[in-house]
Amino acid sequence: MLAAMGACLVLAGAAGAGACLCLERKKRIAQLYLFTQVFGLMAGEIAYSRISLPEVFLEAGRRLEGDQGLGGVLRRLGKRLCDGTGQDIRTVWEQELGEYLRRTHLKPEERERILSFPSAVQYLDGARQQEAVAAFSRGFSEKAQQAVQAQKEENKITMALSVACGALAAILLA
Amino acid sequence: MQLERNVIRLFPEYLRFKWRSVAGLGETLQEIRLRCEKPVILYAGGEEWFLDGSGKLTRDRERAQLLSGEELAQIVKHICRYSLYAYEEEMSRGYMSADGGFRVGIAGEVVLNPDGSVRNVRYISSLNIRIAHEAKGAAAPVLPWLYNGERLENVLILSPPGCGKTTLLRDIIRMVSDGNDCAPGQTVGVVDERSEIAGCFQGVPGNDVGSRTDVLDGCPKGEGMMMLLRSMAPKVMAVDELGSREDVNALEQVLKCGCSVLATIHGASYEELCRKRFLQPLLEGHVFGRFVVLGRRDGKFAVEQIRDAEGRILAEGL
Repeated sequence: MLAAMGACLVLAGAAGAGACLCLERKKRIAQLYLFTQVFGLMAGEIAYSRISLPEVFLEAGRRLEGDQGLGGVLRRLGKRLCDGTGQDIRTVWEQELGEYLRRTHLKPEERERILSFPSAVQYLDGARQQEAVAAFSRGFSEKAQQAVQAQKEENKITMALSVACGALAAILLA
Repeated sequence: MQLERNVIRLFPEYLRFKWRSVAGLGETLQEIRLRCEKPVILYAGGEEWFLDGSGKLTRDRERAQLLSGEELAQIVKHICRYSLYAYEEEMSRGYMSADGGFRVGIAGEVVLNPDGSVRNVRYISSLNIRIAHEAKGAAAPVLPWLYNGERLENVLILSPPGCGKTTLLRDIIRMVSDGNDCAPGQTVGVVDERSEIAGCFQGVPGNDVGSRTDVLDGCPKGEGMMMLLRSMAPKVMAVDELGSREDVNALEQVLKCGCSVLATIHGASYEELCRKRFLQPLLEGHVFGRFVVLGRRDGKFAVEQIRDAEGRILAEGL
Protein backbone atom coordinates (compact mmCIF):
# COMPACT_ATOMS: atom_id res chain seq x y z
CA MET A 1 0.00 0.00 0.00
CA LEU A 2 2.76 2.40 1.06
CA ALA A 3 4.80 1.50 -2.01
CA ALA A 4 1.82 2.24 -4.27
CA MET A 5 1.31 5.59 -2.57
CA GLY A 6 5.03 6.38 -2.87
CA ALA A 7 4.99 5.50 -6.56
CA CYS A 8 2.00 7.81 -7.09
CA LEU A 9 3.76 10.62 -5.27
CA VAL A 10 6.94 10.19 -7.35
CA LEU A 11 4.85 10.22 -10.52
CA ALA A 12 2.95 13.32 -9.40
CA GLY A 13 6.18 15.07 -8.41
CA ALA A 14 7.77 14.35 -11.79
CA ALA A 15 4.66 15.58 -13.60
CA GLY A 16 4.67 18.69 -11.38
CA ALA A 17 8.30 19.42 -12.27
CA GLY A 18 7.40 19.11 -15.93
CA ALA A 19 4.44 21.42 -15.45
CA CYS A 20 6.72 23.97 -13.76
CA LEU A 21 9.01 23.97 -16.79
CA CYS A 22 5.95 24.49 -19.03
CA LEU A 23 4.77 27.32 -16.79
CA GLU A 24 8.15 29.07 -17.09
CA ARG A 25 7.85 28.90 -20.87
CA LYS A 26 4.37 30.39 -20.61
CA LYS A 27 5.66 33.21 -18.42
CA ARG A 28 8.49 33.93 -20.87
CA ILE A 29 5.95 34.17 -23.69
CA ALA A 30 3.82 36.58 -21.63
CA GLN A 31 6.91 38.69 -20.95
CA LEU A 32 7.86 38.71 -24.62
CA TYR A 33 4.35 39.94 -25.45
CA LEU A 34 4.63 42.55 -22.69
CA PHE A 35 7.80 43.98 -24.23
CA THR A 36 6.15 43.83 -27.67
CA GLN A 37 3.35 45.93 -26.23
CA VAL A 38 5.69 48.35 -24.43
CA PHE A 39 7.88 49.04 -27.44
CA GLY A 40 4.75 49.34 -29.58
CA LEU A 41 3.35 51.92 -27.15
CA MET A 42 6.61 53.83 -27.24
CA ALA A 43 6.72 53.82 -31.04
CA GLY A 44 3.13 55.06 -31.08
CA GLU A 45 3.91 57.91 -28.69
CA ILE A 46 6.88 58.97 -30.80
CA ALA A 47 4.82 58.83 -34.00
CA TYR A 48 1.89 60.68 -32.53
CA SER A 49 3.33 63.32 -30.23
CA ARG A 50 7.09 63.38 -30.91
CA ILE A 51 7.75 63.65 -27.18
CA SER A 52 11.19 62.96 -25.74
CA LEU A 53 12.22 59.49 -24.50
CA PRO A 54 11.82 60.28 -20.76
CA GLU A 55 8.28 61.48 -21.46
CA VAL A 56 7.68 58.39 -23.63
CA PHE A 57 8.71 56.20 -20.67
CA LEU A 58 6.38 58.10 -18.33
CA GLU A 59 3.49 57.83 -20.78
CA ALA A 60 4.04 54.13 -21.53
CA GLY A 61 4.43 53.47 -17.79
CA ARG A 62 1.11 55.16 -17.09
CA ARG A 63 -0.61 52.89 -19.58
CA LEU A 64 0.73 49.73 -17.95
CA GLU A 65 -0.81 48.99 -14.61
CA GLY A 66 0.93 48.18 -11.35
CA ASP A 67 3.84 49.74 -9.48
CA GLN A 68 5.77 46.51 -9.09
CA GLY A 69 5.67 45.56 -12.75
CA LEU A 70 7.16 47.07 -15.87
CA GLY A 71 4.80 50.07 -15.69
CA GLY A 72 6.29 51.12 -12.37
CA VAL A 73 9.82 50.61 -13.69
CA LEU A 74 9.14 52.82 -16.71
CA ARG A 75 7.56 55.55 -14.59
CA ARG A 76 10.55 55.53 -12.22
CA LEU A 77 12.88 55.64 -15.19
CA GLY A 78 11.06 58.62 -16.71
CA LYS A 79 11.03 60.47 -13.38
CA ARG A 80 14.74 59.91 -12.81
CA LEU A 81 15.54 61.26 -16.26
CA CYS A 82 13.33 64.31 -15.70
CA ASP A 83 14.39 65.12 -12.13
CA GLY A 84 17.28 67.34 -13.22
CA THR A 85 20.06 65.23 -11.72
CA GLY A 86 21.56 64.91 -15.19
CA GLN A 87 22.08 61.16 -15.18
CA ASP A 88 22.90 59.47 -18.44
CA ILE A 89 20.00 57.59 -20.08
CA ARG A 90 22.05 54.41 -20.54
CA THR A 91 23.06 54.27 -16.88
CA VAL A 92 19.53 54.84 -15.62
CA TRP A 93 18.04 52.37 -18.11
CA GLU A 94 20.54 49.68 -17.18
CA GLN A 95 19.94 50.19 -13.47
CA GLU A 96 16.16 50.16 -13.62
CA LEU A 97 15.58 47.60 -16.39
CA GLY A 98 18.54 45.44 -15.33
CA GLU A 99 16.97 44.96 -11.91
CA TYR A 100 13.57 44.18 -13.46
CA LEU A 101 14.95 41.80 -16.08
CA ARG A 102 16.70 39.71 -13.44
CA ARG A 103 13.26 38.72 -12.19
CA THR A 104 11.98 37.66 -15.62
CA HIS A 105 12.25 34.35 -17.50
CA LEU A 106 13.69 35.94 -20.62
CA LYS A 107 16.77 34.46 -22.26
CA PRO A 108 20.13 36.26 -21.80
CA GLU A 109 20.18 37.46 -25.42
CA GLU A 110 16.67 38.89 -25.04
CA ARG A 111 17.75 40.76 -21.90
CA GLU A 112 20.82 42.07 -23.72
CA ARG A 113 18.62 43.31 -26.54
CA ILE A 114 16.42 45.20 -24.10
CA LEU A 115 19.39 46.69 -22.28
CA SER A 116 20.82 47.92 -25.59
CA PHE A 117 17.67 49.97 -26.27
CA PRO A 118 19.00 53.49 -25.40
CA SER A 119 22.04 53.03 -27.64
CA ALA A 120 20.00 51.69 -30.52
CA VAL A 121 17.56 54.59 -30.70
CA GLN A 122 19.48 57.83 -31.15
CA TYR A 123 18.05 59.14 -34.38
CA LEU A 124 17.84 62.75 -35.47
CA ASP A 125 14.80 62.08 -37.60
CA GLY A 126 11.43 61.33 -35.98
CA ALA A 127 10.33 58.75 -38.54
CA ARG A 128 13.57 56.80 -38.21
CA GLN A 129 13.40 56.96 -34.44
CA GLN A 130 9.86 55.61 -34.51
CA GLU A 131 10.93 52.88 -36.92
CA ALA A 132 13.85 51.91 -34.69
CA VAL A 133 11.58 51.58 -31.63
CA ALA A 134 8.94 49.74 -33.68
CA ALA A 135 11.66 47.31 -34.80
CA PHE A 136 12.16 46.37 -31.15
CA SER A 137 8.44 45.70 -30.89
CA ARG A 138 8.42 43.58 -34.05
CA GLY A 139 11.49 41.67 -32.88
CA PHE A 140 9.87 40.70 -29.60
CA SER A 141 6.58 39.92 -31.32
CA GLU A 142 8.38 37.48 -33.64
CA LYS A 143 10.18 35.90 -30.70
CA ALA A 144 6.88 35.53 -28.86
CA GLN A 145 5.22 33.87 -31.87
CA GLN A 146 8.16 31.51 -32.33
CA ALA A 147 8.01 30.67 -28.63
CA VAL A 148 4.27 29.93 -28.87
CA GLN A 149 4.88 27.57 -31.79
CA ALA A 150 7.76 25.85 -30.06
CA GLN A 151 5.94 25.75 -26.75
CA LYS A 152 3.29 23.25 -27.94
CA GLU A 153 5.84 20.64 -28.97
CA GLU A 154 8.23 21.36 -26.13
CA ASN A 155 5.46 21.10 -23.53
CA LYS A 156 4.34 17.73 -24.88
CA ILE A 157 7.91 16.41 -24.78
CA THR A 158 8.56 17.89 -21.34
CA MET A 159 5.40 16.37 -19.86
CA ALA A 160 6.00 12.99 -21.53
CA LEU A 161 9.62 12.88 -20.37
CA SER A 162 8.84 13.99 -16.83
CA VAL A 163 6.05 11.42 -16.46
CA ALA A 164 8.30 8.73 -17.96
CA CYS A 165 11.13 9.72 -15.59
CA GLY A 166 8.68 9.61 -12.72
CA ALA A 167 7.46 6.15 -13.76
CA LEU A 168 11.03 4.89 -14.10
CA ALA A 169 11.94 6.26 -10.68
CA ALA A 170 8.84 4.67 -9.18
CA ILE A 171 9.75 1.26 -10.73
CA LEU A 172 13.34 1.51 -9.53
CA LEU A 173 12.27 2.48 -6.03
CA ALA A 174 9.60 -0.20 -5.80
CA MET B 1 18.88 80.10 -6.62
CA GLN B 2 16.25 78.84 -9.03
CA LEU B 3 18.16 80.32 -11.96
CA GLU B 4 21.43 78.77 -10.76
CA ARG B 5 19.73 75.41 -10.44
CA ASN B 6 18.26 75.72 -13.91
CA VAL B 7 21.64 76.66 -15.42
CA ILE B 8 23.35 73.68 -13.76
CA ARG B 9 20.61 71.40 -15.05
CA LEU B 10 21.63 72.24 -18.62
CA PHE B 11 24.71 70.05 -18.20
CA PRO B 12 25.15 66.30 -17.72
CA GLU B 13 25.95 65.17 -14.19
CA TYR B 14 29.58 64.31 -14.86
CA LEU B 15 30.33 67.79 -16.27
CA ARG B 16 28.56 69.82 -13.60
CA PHE B 17 31.61 70.50 -11.43
CA LYS B 18 32.95 72.67 -14.26
CA TRP B 19 29.82 74.76 -14.51
CA ARG B 20 29.15 75.68 -10.89
CA SER B 21 31.00 79.00 -11.14
CA VAL B 22 29.04 79.81 -14.31
CA ALA B 23 25.74 79.12 -12.59
CA GLY B 24 27.00 81.25 -9.70
CA LEU B 25 26.90 84.30 -11.96
CA GLY B 26 23.16 84.19 -11.37
CA GLU B 27 21.05 87.01 -12.68
CA THR B 28 23.94 88.71 -14.49
CA LEU B 29 24.51 85.71 -16.77
CA GLN B 30 23.15 86.40 -20.27
CA GLU B 31 24.67 83.90 -22.67
CA ILE B 32 26.86 80.81 -22.73
CA ARG B 33 28.61 80.25 -26.06
CA LEU B 34 29.90 76.76 -26.73
CA ARG B 35 31.89 75.94 -29.84
CA CYS B 36 33.60 72.73 -30.79
CA GLU B 37 37.36 72.84 -29.94
CA LYS B 38 37.07 76.52 -29.00
CA PRO B 39 37.06 78.28 -25.60
CA VAL B 40 33.79 78.52 -23.71
CA ILE B 41 32.68 82.16 -23.68
CA LEU B 42 30.22 83.63 -21.23
CA TYR B 43 28.49 86.97 -21.31
CA ALA B 44 27.53 88.28 -17.91
CA GLY B 45 26.66 91.82 -16.92
CA GLY B 46 27.72 93.01 -20.36
CA GLU B 47 31.21 91.52 -19.98
CA GLU B 48 32.96 88.58 -21.62
CA TRP B 49 34.41 85.72 -19.57
CA PHE B 50 36.18 82.45 -20.33
CA LEU B 51 36.10 79.19 -18.44
CA ASP B 52 39.38 77.49 -17.46
CA GLY B 53 40.00 73.76 -17.06
CA SER B 54 39.10 73.72 -13.37
CA GLY B 55 35.82 75.49 -13.90
CA LYS B 56 36.98 78.95 -12.79
CA LEU B 57 36.06 82.10 -14.63
CA THR B 58 38.88 84.04 -16.24
CA ARG B 59 39.33 87.00 -18.54
CA ASP B 60 42.58 85.54 -19.86
CA ARG B 61 41.95 83.82 -23.16
CA GLU B 62 45.19 81.86 -22.86
CA ARG B 63 43.93 80.10 -19.73
CA ALA B 64 40.60 79.26 -21.29
CA GLN B 65 39.91 75.56 -21.79
CA LEU B 66 38.79 74.32 -25.18
CA LEU B 67 35.49 72.47 -25.34
CA SER B 68 35.95 69.00 -26.83
CA GLY B 69 33.62 67.65 -29.51
CA GLU B 70 32.63 64.81 -27.18
CA GLU B 71 31.62 67.21 -24.39
CA LEU B 72 29.64 69.33 -26.82
CA ALA B 73 27.86 66.22 -28.14
CA GLN B 74 27.04 65.12 -24.58
CA ILE B 75 25.67 68.55 -23.72
CA VAL B 76 23.48 68.52 -26.85
CA LYS B 77 22.17 65.05 -26.01
CA HIS B 78 21.48 66.06 -22.43
CA ILE B 79 19.68 69.27 -23.38
CA CYS B 80 17.41 67.43 -25.79
CA ARG B 81 16.89 64.57 -23.28
CA TYR B 82 18.58 62.02 -25.52
CA SER B 83 15.79 62.61 -28.03
CA LEU B 84 17.10 64.64 -30.94
CA TYR B 85 14.08 63.57 -33.00
CA ALA B 86 11.78 65.41 -30.58
CA TYR B 87 13.54 68.66 -31.48
CA GLU B 88 13.47 68.13 -35.24
CA GLU B 89 11.00 70.94 -35.84
CA GLU B 90 12.82 73.41 -33.59
CA MET B 91 16.22 72.46 -34.94
CA SER B 92 15.02 73.13 -38.46
CA ARG B 93 14.47 76.69 -37.23
CA GLY B 94 17.91 76.86 -35.61
CA TYR B 95 17.24 76.39 -31.92
CA MET B 96 16.20 74.02 -29.16
CA SER B 97 14.12 74.83 -26.09
CA ALA B 98 15.75 73.66 -22.89
CA ASP B 99 14.27 73.15 -19.44
CA GLY B 100 13.89 76.37 -17.49
CA GLY B 101 12.68 78.26 -20.55
CA PHE B 102 16.17 78.71 -21.99
CA ARG B 103 16.57 78.90 -25.72
CA VAL B 104 19.61 77.22 -27.22
CA GLY B 105 20.66 78.45 -30.62
CA ILE B 106 22.47 75.86 -32.76
CA ALA B 107 24.80 75.88 -35.74
CA GLY B 108 26.36 73.01 -37.65
CA GLU B 109 25.87 71.11 -40.88
CA VAL B 110 22.40 71.68 -42.26
CA VAL B 111 20.30 68.86 -43.77
CA LEU B 112 18.00 70.06 -46.54
CA ASN B 113 14.65 68.80 -47.76
CA PRO B 114 14.26 68.00 -51.48
CA ASP B 115 12.53 71.38 -51.90
CA GLY B 116 15.57 73.17 -50.46
CA SER B 117 14.04 74.05 -47.11
CA VAL B 118 15.96 73.28 -43.92
CA ARG B 119 15.12 69.88 -42.48
CA ASN B 120 17.52 69.57 -39.60
CA VAL B 121 21.01 70.30 -38.31
CA ARG B 122 23.48 67.48 -37.84
CA TYR B 123 27.06 67.65 -36.56
CA ILE B 124 26.16 70.50 -34.24
CA SER B 125 29.32 72.54 -33.71
CA SER B 126 28.07 75.65 -31.88
CA LEU B 127 25.55 76.34 -29.16
CA ASN B 128 24.37 79.66 -27.85
CA ILE B 129 22.53 79.17 -24.57
CA ARG B 130 20.46 82.24 -23.85
CA ILE B 131 19.64 82.49 -20.19
CA ALA B 132 16.01 83.30 -19.50
CA HIS B 133 15.45 85.54 -16.49
CA GLU B 134 12.33 85.80 -14.46
CA ALA B 135 12.34 89.37 -13.18
CA LYS B 136 9.24 89.77 -11.08
CA GLY B 137 8.25 93.39 -10.74
CA ALA B 138 10.20 94.48 -13.82
CA ALA B 139 6.97 95.55 -15.48
CA ALA B 140 5.72 97.65 -12.56
CA PRO B 141 7.14 101.01 -13.71
CA VAL B 142 5.96 100.40 -17.28
CA LEU B 143 2.47 99.14 -16.61
CA PRO B 144 0.70 102.48 -15.85
CA TRP B 145 1.77 103.71 -19.30
CA LEU B 146 0.25 100.71 -21.03
CA TYR B 147 -3.34 101.20 -19.89
CA ASN B 148 -6.00 103.52 -21.22
CA GLY B 149 -8.42 103.56 -18.32
CA GLU B 150 -8.85 99.88 -17.51
CA ARG B 151 -8.22 98.79 -21.07
CA LEU B 152 -4.78 97.50 -21.93
CA GLU B 153 -3.47 99.11 -25.11
CA ASN B 154 -1.97 97.00 -27.88
CA VAL B 155 1.69 96.98 -26.90
CA LEU B 156 4.78 96.27 -29.00
CA ILE B 157 8.06 95.82 -27.12
CA LEU B 158 11.17 96.31 -29.21
CA SER B 159 14.88 96.02 -28.58
CA PRO B 160 18.03 94.43 -30.00
CA PRO B 161 18.60 90.77 -28.98
CA GLY B 162 19.52 90.20 -25.35
CA CYS B 163 17.98 93.36 -23.92
CA GLY B 164 15.13 91.70 -22.05
CA LYS B 165 12.13 91.78 -24.38
CA THR B 166 10.90 88.36 -23.33
CA THR B 167 11.66 89.00 -19.66
CA LEU B 168 9.58 92.18 -19.70
CA LEU B 169 6.82 90.55 -21.72
CA ARG B 170 6.65 87.67 -19.22
CA ASP B 171 6.27 90.04 -16.29
CA ILE B 172 3.65 92.18 -18.07
CA ILE B 173 1.70 88.98 -18.77
CA ARG B 174 1.93 87.99 -15.11
CA MET B 175 0.78 91.38 -13.84
CA VAL B 176 -2.03 91.71 -16.37
CA SER B 177 -3.19 88.19 -15.61
CA ASP B 178 -3.06 88.52 -11.80
CA GLY B 179 -4.38 92.06 -11.78
CA ASN B 180 -2.53 95.23 -10.80
CA ASP B 181 -3.12 98.81 -9.61
CA CYS B 182 -4.38 99.83 -13.04
CA ALA B 183 -6.90 97.08 -13.73
CA PRO B 184 -8.27 93.81 -12.37
CA GLY B 185 -6.87 90.53 -13.68
CA GLN B 186 -7.73 89.52 -17.23
CA THR B 187 -7.59 86.25 -19.14
CA VAL B 188 -4.36 86.15 -21.11
CA GLY B 189 -3.65 83.76 -23.98
CA VAL B 190 0.04 83.13 -24.66
CA VAL B 191 1.30 81.53 -27.84
CA ASP B 192 4.75 80.42 -26.73
CA GLU B 193 6.23 79.19 -29.99
CA ARG B 194 9.74 78.78 -28.61
CA SER B 195 8.83 77.90 -25.02
CA GLU B 196 10.69 80.97 -23.80
CA ILE B 197 7.88 82.90 -22.17
CA ALA B 198 6.33 80.30 -19.90
CA GLY B 199 9.10 77.67 -19.95
CA CYS B 200 6.57 74.83 -20.09
CA PHE B 201 7.37 71.23 -19.24
CA GLN B 202 4.73 68.71 -20.28
CA GLY B 203 2.42 71.65 -20.96
CA VAL B 204 2.72 73.18 -17.48
CA PRO B 205 4.39 76.61 -17.22
CA GLY B 206 7.64 76.61 -15.25
CA ASN B 207 7.68 80.41 -15.03
CA ASP B 208 5.04 82.44 -13.25
CA VAL B 209 2.83 83.82 -16.00
CA GLY B 210 -0.16 84.59 -13.80
CA SER B 211 -3.26 82.81 -12.62
CA ARG B 212 -5.48 83.71 -15.57
CA THR B 213 -3.06 82.72 -18.28
CA ASP B 214 -3.51 79.92 -20.82
CA VAL B 215 -0.38 78.86 -22.66
CA LEU B 216 -0.19 77.17 -26.03
CA ASP B 217 3.32 75.78 -25.98
CA GLY B 218 5.46 75.09 -29.03
CA CYS B 219 2.77 76.21 -31.45
CA PRO B 220 3.38 78.43 -34.48
CA LYS B 221 2.22 81.97 -33.69
CA GLY B 222 -0.32 82.40 -36.48
CA GLU B 223 -2.08 79.10 -35.93
CA GLY B 224 -1.80 79.35 -32.16
CA MET B 225 -3.43 82.77 -31.93
CA MET B 226 -6.43 81.54 -33.92
CA MET B 227 -6.70 78.40 -31.80
CA LEU B 228 -6.68 80.36 -28.54
CA LEU B 229 -9.14 82.87 -29.93
CA ARG B 230 -11.62 80.16 -30.86
CA SER B 231 -11.24 78.05 -27.76
CA MET B 232 -10.07 80.09 -24.78
CA ALA B 233 -11.61 83.54 -25.37
CA PRO B 234 -8.67 85.57 -24.07
CA LYS B 235 -8.98 89.29 -23.36
CA VAL B 236 -5.27 89.74 -24.02
CA MET B 237 -3.14 87.81 -26.49
CA ALA B 238 0.63 87.66 -26.02
CA VAL B 239 3.25 86.52 -28.54
CA ASP B 240 7.01 86.75 -28.73
CA GLU B 241 9.08 87.93 -31.69
CA LEU B 242 6.89 88.93 -34.58
CA GLY B 243 8.93 88.27 -37.64
CA SER B 244 6.88 87.63 -40.75
CA ARG B 245 3.92 88.72 -42.79
CA GLU B 246 2.03 85.59 -41.60
CA ASP B 247 2.43 86.68 -37.99
CA VAL B 248 1.07 90.10 -38.85
CA ASN B 249 -1.92 88.59 -40.70
CA ALA B 250 -2.80 86.46 -37.69
CA LEU B 251 -2.41 89.46 -35.42
CA GLU B 252 -4.87 91.42 -37.57
CA GLN B 253 -7.42 88.64 -37.06
CA VAL B 254 -6.91 88.78 -33.31
CA LEU B 255 -7.36 92.54 -33.28
CA LYS B 256 -10.63 92.23 -35.19
CA CYS B 257 -11.95 90.11 -32.34
CA GLY B 258 -11.38 92.84 -29.78
CA CYS B 259 -8.41 91.32 -27.98
CA SER B 260 -5.59 93.46 -26.73
CA VAL B 261 -2.21 92.35 -28.00
CA LEU B 262 1.16 92.15 -26.27
CA ALA B 263 3.99 91.41 -28.67
CA THR B 264 7.74 91.78 -29.04
CA ILE B 265 9.93 92.38 -32.06
CA HIS B 266 13.63 92.76 -32.81
CA GLY B 267 14.69 96.32 -33.52
CA ALA B 268 17.31 98.77 -32.33
CA SER B 269 15.01 101.79 -32.33
CA TYR B 270 11.53 103.04 -33.12
CA GLU B 271 12.84 104.51 -36.37
CA GLU B 272 14.19 101.14 -37.45
CA LEU B 273 10.86 99.57 -36.60
CA CYS B 274 9.07 102.02 -38.91
CA ARG B 275 11.21 100.76 -41.78
CA LYS B 276 10.09 97.12 -41.41
CA ARG B 277 7.92 96.47 -44.44
CA PHE B 278 5.92 93.55 -43.12
CA LEU B 279 4.79 95.67 -40.19
CA GLN B 280 3.54 98.60 -42.30
CA PRO B 281 -0.17 97.63 -42.27
CA LEU B 282 -0.16 97.65 -38.48
CA LEU B 283 1.89 100.84 -38.16
CA GLU B 284 -0.14 102.75 -40.73
CA GLY B 285 -3.34 101.66 -39.05
CA HIS B 286 -2.00 102.90 -35.67
CA VAL B 287 -2.87 99.49 -34.29
CA PHE B 288 -0.30 99.59 -31.49
CA GLY B 289 -1.18 102.11 -28.83
CA ARG B 290 2.17 101.81 -27.08
CA PHE B 291 5.72 101.06 -28.16
CA VAL B 292 8.15 100.10 -25.41
CA VAL B 293 11.77 100.55 -26.52
CA LEU B 294 14.35 98.67 -24.45
CA GLY B 295 18.10 99.08 -24.19
CA ARG B 296 20.92 98.20 -21.80
CA ARG B 297 22.14 100.23 -18.87
CA ASP B 298 24.91 98.94 -16.55
CA GLY B 299 24.53 95.47 -17.98
CA LYS B 300 20.82 95.32 -17.19
CA PHE B 301 17.87 95.92 -19.42
CA ALA B 302 16.24 99.31 -19.12
CA VAL B 303 13.20 100.95 -20.66
CA GLU B 304 14.54 103.70 -22.87
CA GLN B 305 11.27 105.04 -24.23
CA ILE B 306 7.56 104.50 -24.22
CA ARG B 307 5.82 105.91 -27.29
CA ASP B 308 2.18 106.26 -28.24
CA ALA B 309 0.48 105.21 -31.48
CA GLU B 310 1.68 108.34 -33.26
CA GLY B 311 5.25 107.73 -32.14
CA ARG B 312 5.24 110.54 -29.58
CA ILE B 313 7.46 109.88 -26.57
CA LEU B 314 5.40 109.49 -23.41
CA ALA B 315 8.18 108.49 -21.05
CA GLU B 316 11.95 108.03 -21.11
CA GLY B 317 14.61 106.28 -19.02
CA LEU B 318 12.33 104.29 -16.74
